[in-house]
Amino acid sequence: MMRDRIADALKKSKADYTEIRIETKDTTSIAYRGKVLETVNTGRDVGGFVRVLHNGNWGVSTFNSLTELDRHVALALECAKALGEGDTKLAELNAQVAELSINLENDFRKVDLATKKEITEHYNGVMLSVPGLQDSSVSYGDTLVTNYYANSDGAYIKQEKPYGSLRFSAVARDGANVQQSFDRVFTAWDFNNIYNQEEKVANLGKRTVEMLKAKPVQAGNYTVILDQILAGVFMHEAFGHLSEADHIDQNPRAQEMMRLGRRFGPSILNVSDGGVHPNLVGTLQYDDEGTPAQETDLIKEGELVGRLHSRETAAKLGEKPTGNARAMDYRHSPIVRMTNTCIKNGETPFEDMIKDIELGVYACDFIGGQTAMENFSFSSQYAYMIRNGQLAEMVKDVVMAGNIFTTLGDVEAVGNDLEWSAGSCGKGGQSPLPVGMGSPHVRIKNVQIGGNSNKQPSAMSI
Amino acid sequence: MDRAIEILDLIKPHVDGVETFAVTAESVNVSYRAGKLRSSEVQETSGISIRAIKDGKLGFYSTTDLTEKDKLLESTLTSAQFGGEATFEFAKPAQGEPFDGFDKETARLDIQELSEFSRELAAKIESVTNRDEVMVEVDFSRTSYDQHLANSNGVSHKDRRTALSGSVSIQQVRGDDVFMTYDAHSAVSREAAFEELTDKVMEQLNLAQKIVKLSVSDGELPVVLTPAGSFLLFYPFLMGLSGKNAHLGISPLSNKLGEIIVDPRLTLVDEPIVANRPGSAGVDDEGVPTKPITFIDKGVVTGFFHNLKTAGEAKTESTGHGKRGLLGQPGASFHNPMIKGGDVPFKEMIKDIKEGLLIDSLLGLGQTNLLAGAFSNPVNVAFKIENGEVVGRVKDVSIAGNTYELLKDRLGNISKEVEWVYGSLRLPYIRLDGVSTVAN
Repeated sequence: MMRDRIADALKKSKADYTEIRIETKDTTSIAYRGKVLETVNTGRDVGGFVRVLHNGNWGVSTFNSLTELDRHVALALECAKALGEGDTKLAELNAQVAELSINLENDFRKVDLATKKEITEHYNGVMLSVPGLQDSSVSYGDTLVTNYYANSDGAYIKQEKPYGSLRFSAVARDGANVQQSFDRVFTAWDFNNIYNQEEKVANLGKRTVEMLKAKPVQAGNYTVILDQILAGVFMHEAFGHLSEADHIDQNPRAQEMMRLGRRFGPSILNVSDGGVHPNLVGTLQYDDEGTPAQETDLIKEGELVGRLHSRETAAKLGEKPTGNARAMDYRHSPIVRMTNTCIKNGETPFEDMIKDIELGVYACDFIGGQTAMENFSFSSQYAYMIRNGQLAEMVKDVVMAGNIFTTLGDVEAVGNDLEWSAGSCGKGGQSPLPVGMGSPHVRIKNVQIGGNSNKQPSAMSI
Repeated sequence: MDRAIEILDLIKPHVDGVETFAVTAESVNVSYRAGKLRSSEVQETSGISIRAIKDGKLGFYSTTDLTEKDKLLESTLTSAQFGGEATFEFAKPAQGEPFDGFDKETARLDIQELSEFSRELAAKIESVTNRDEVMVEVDFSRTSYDQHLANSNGVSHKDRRTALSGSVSIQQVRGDDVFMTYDAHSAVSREAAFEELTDKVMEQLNLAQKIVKLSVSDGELPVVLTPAGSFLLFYPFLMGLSGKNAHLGISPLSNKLGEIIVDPRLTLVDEPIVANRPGSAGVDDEGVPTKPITFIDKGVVTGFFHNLKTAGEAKTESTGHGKRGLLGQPGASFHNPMIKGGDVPFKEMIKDIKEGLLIDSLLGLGQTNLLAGAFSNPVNVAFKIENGEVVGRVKDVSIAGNTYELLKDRLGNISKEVEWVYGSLRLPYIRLDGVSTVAN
């Protein structure tokens, strides 16, 4: 029994605090590129993670062979001892004991490889039927992670984490004009979500061909409306990362900058994060330190009211753990991560949001985003100009720049049409980690968009 | 017995061809953060991946669970049963140029030594900055690994390697002003570049003490990219010179072999063997010998890179660019790619610039249509050049354009200085005259 083996190794540990995580991960992936079936891969990854806190320092040992848990506990202790005297502490936590097994709708573990290949091939047929594409890909993937966690405080938690995905991309080309786009369906609970996505696949193909005719956006500062998907990425980058306490726990000036009660946006802005929402990709019952998931308010009526913690950052800042210590896999220590982050519904319908915008941009879906705390970027997959209160021509290459102290304050309207989407996040070398992002439509003024310059080079510039 | 051979022999009787790739690795790393070493770690890795061809179809299975031998065969055969068409054969035995990627001293580095090294580097910065404002992080790791590639054509290639990697990053917060920058390096063994990691970070921190504004809110400015910043121009080539993308017709360079596509001052080569560079290999991860290749010769496209599979699809030969990790199918990538230096020193390059930008990094790089060369990004670490001098940091500025067009029509010059960026990529400073810029 895994539980007994882990308990046994914990008992022998001489460290102040010890935790052990054992994971098995089974993966299937099937990919078509154009007409060609490119890969049918299956794989199994098994490994363990031992972390000790001793004399205020962390020591870690990770491994594939599970036969010598005791040796790895001893190795982790040696690692911690080699660093001398530290000051890392853990916030108090009631030890939890739980064995959670999943109850999947249409369980993908019971679907054979032939059927999975058929589904992928079917969607590939839909994609290939779109005229005008130069290249495309359709891929299916599923993984099941089984995770055993126990620590010397008495916690023992077994969790199963299923994850299914359908990803498709398309490329259209006209000479040097090459356009590409992608879309995806992620599911953590219900394999039925993999079905009935034909329209989504075909629309992506058509949109990619359409983008060949789109002009690059003119550079400038615009009033923008973000669709639900992109608004979710906006909040993830703009604010979500800064609310992760490990960005500020060792820097007094950063703590001052992010003091609770500080106003960041208008009173219509409300933001929260939580692993407790059912059926989202960032959903979890316990984080990777055994803390139960909870809903944490981050911004309430425009003011900073909370932040995300691990046991370490909570102790450092004198707050409570929030269930946000997540590790990508057994190779990594848990660090503070978002789970499902959302901008809560406001009251402005989309029609009211757009009607008085003389010249603006409606930006949809994301390619990605990145933050350097104060400044951040977020890029859309496709966008339309807004002219005289109406959606106008399609434009491409719409990438927005934000500054946390001005852009959040420039939020002018929050819609009433919240939708959740799924993304994957990278931090501290741990990528990809599934995160849920939710938002209604959001309108922001004065957003900087790079693009073609309106002006000729000035004689002054060189 | 050797694991790669043992599993090869297990599968061989059941298939038409098989290749095994076994890895065992051991690494140590330490993390220093805000005045203290805070954690250290040891990592042991072992696993194997298998590719098999049966009835013209390709199967793949990988695992780190070496207790289930029966499952290896069964899973590989199932994958091959449903797999795609195999358009290539596994490599034949061949000799490559020798490269010694193993250093005994590096393999022996322990936590104490890495800790000491991290402390020294951190102290260089912490001794001259205010700890309440500037947080320093230093990470060091060393890895030693053995990989063994074997196939049913008789290839058995064992490789023993070491790698030392280090990074230094800082976060300065002053009021609401945040400045973050970092530098990283990796090599087969210890070398001066690790000591120098703090130099770039300190120099940038000094320049960032003053925040300056551009005089224009929207216009075209001369932009000088640092060697790290020049990654913006290199990245589209990484995708565009991919033999797979060229074959599929999605590279803007497809069908441009022999044509001039950028300024003749630009030459891009891949050197598979360079002393101490961790990307080096005499034989690639599929058993194909490597060779130096010029991909862009004085502005002219002269080649595309391939692994066995992409070469098979394009009906050409592998160029020795098969690269793989433990658990995935081989991909194709450069070894030690370089954009050749020019003949102007950096100082000369900026001398005549009245107003321009010096850019070291952008936010969201790679999150635009860079396959086509299109970029549009806020700057991350960037400085203003005024009357030939770097005068201070700029923020809330975005640049946009197309890398191929800029390198064709707007290449100012290429610096004499070339630097290894993050380990196995060698780039110069590159000046572009007239890049669309917008500022708040």
